[in-house]
Amino acid sequence: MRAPSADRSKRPERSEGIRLIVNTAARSGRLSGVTFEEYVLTRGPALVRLARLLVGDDHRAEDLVQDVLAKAYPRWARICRTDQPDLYLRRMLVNARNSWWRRRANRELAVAEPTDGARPDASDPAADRDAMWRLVAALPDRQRAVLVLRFYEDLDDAAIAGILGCSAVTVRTHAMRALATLRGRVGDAGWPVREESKR
Amino acid sequence: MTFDVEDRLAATLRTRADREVDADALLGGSLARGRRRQRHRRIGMALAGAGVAGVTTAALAAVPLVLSDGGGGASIGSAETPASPPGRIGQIGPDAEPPVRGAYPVPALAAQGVPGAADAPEKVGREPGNIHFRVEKLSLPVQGVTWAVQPDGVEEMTLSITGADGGPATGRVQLAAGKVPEPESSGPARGEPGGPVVTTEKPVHIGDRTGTLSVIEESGFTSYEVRWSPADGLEAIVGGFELDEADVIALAHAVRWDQAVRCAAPLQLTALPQGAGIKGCTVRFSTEDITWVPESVLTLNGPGAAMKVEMGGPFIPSASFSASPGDLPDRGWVGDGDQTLQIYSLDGVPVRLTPTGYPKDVAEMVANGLRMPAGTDPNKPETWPTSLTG
Repeated sequence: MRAPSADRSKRPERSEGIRLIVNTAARSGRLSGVTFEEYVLTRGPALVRLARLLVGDDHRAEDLVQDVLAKAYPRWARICRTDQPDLYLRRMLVNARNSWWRRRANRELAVAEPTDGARPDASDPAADRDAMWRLVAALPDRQRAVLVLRFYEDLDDAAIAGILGCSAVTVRTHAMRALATLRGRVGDAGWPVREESKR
Repeated sequence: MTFDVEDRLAATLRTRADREVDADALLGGSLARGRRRQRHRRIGMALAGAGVAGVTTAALAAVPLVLSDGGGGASIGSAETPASPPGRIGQIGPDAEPPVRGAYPVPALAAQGVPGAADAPEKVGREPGNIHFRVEKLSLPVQGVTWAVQPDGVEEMTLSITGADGGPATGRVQLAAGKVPEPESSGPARGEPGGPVVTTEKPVHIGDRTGTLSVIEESGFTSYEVRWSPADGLEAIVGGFELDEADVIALAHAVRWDQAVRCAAPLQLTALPQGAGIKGCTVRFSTEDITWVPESVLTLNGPGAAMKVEMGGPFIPSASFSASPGDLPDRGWVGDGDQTLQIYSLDGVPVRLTPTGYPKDVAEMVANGLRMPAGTDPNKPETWPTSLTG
């Protein structure tokens, strides 16, 4: 068994430098010359965080991202030459999440449903977020993906459309429906909705 | 301070996602899988070039998933200790070592005196309390298993196991009279754009019968499926995710059609809606390594209406609930439009009833009729009643 903490203790300085290079390159959409290892160390955690929101389970999320990165590994040089490697990998991730087998496994083995015993306490922000998460988890896959990409990844509609393989109009439709559903359900559940600051 | 849905949504997503990620472990796991994928590909191409395609995975996975077992087999509470304890589920990255192959029992309640599908094919899918086949042991660690009779008549076993590479894997056996129906899916169906594609089909012998092995590609993932008729008038499908071809074929060989497994629940139904009967049953068991507890789901179908009755299981994942259980009432309607009647503890068993088409008072009647027979321990499925109704 290796000692992860010992390994990590030697890495920060190198990782910080790599992170700067990769993040700068990623922002500009160019990752040519960045190795697979450098990319995973710096941008991989962001993929895992996105996957957590898409699949709702930490273990499955990390498993899914490892699968996606494993697929990317033999083709890394080619992926680096794409215009938007970050978006390319996110597209791979969203597509992988939709895999038939994973859907079926999730259906059978899911441990959380939106209608279980959650009864949010209006005074408890954690309970509020917990209840909101259940509503998000109950949305159709595409609507959920749009919300995650827009409100967590902070991507614009064109980028989301590129990831999902649809038009920006479709993205906006998904977002509108998802938000309408959430607003309706939040109201039904009687949680505190203060209307003063609609964006 | 003010909120609206978008603010709350953004905060919720950040809370759910923004936790530490071990980048080193992620890199290690990704590299290991990526290199293995590359190696498989090279070997596969080399063997295909040499005209021996089909041997590849068998050569790489010499030890089959399932151990043949002469009989007896494991049941709940009689787990044999493998040569080495299994790793925890979901363990990934460089620390996820390939599991030790052993004889890992598949939890099940044996249905004494109930014939298997080979002897009574006409009963398949028609008895919600019985699954007419069994798998007794696997060579890979088993984390959990779901046995089910679906309302559409499909008998099903779903295994959650540690795969050959140490990551989570899934195996599944389905059996139905006639044809196993295609699964409901929100995505594109097989053959549609973006949907699963069968890239290869070839004959495979399972016992004295011949089936078809399909290689299915979807979103870059490869899965395997064996489809055949284990007895006249029946169709079986065995498949897996993160299982290779050899393991899927081994699983198909391991299904015993001369045995049956019980689908059971800790509480019996003593009151049913007018004209309704139990059409489906699901029971989930797990090893102690993960957080599931035994869970049962019964589906009642009546004229134009249905009801799902869930007992036990991972019932309280919500921090908001578990924080102050003492303040909660014994039962209540929850969910959108009060869709679920929740009983927090009925003789120690959490229960949820979700009617569709039935009024609330019918669900209350069914709930009031739930009984736990003497001698039943909700945490010991082997003590659960042999009949779903009482």
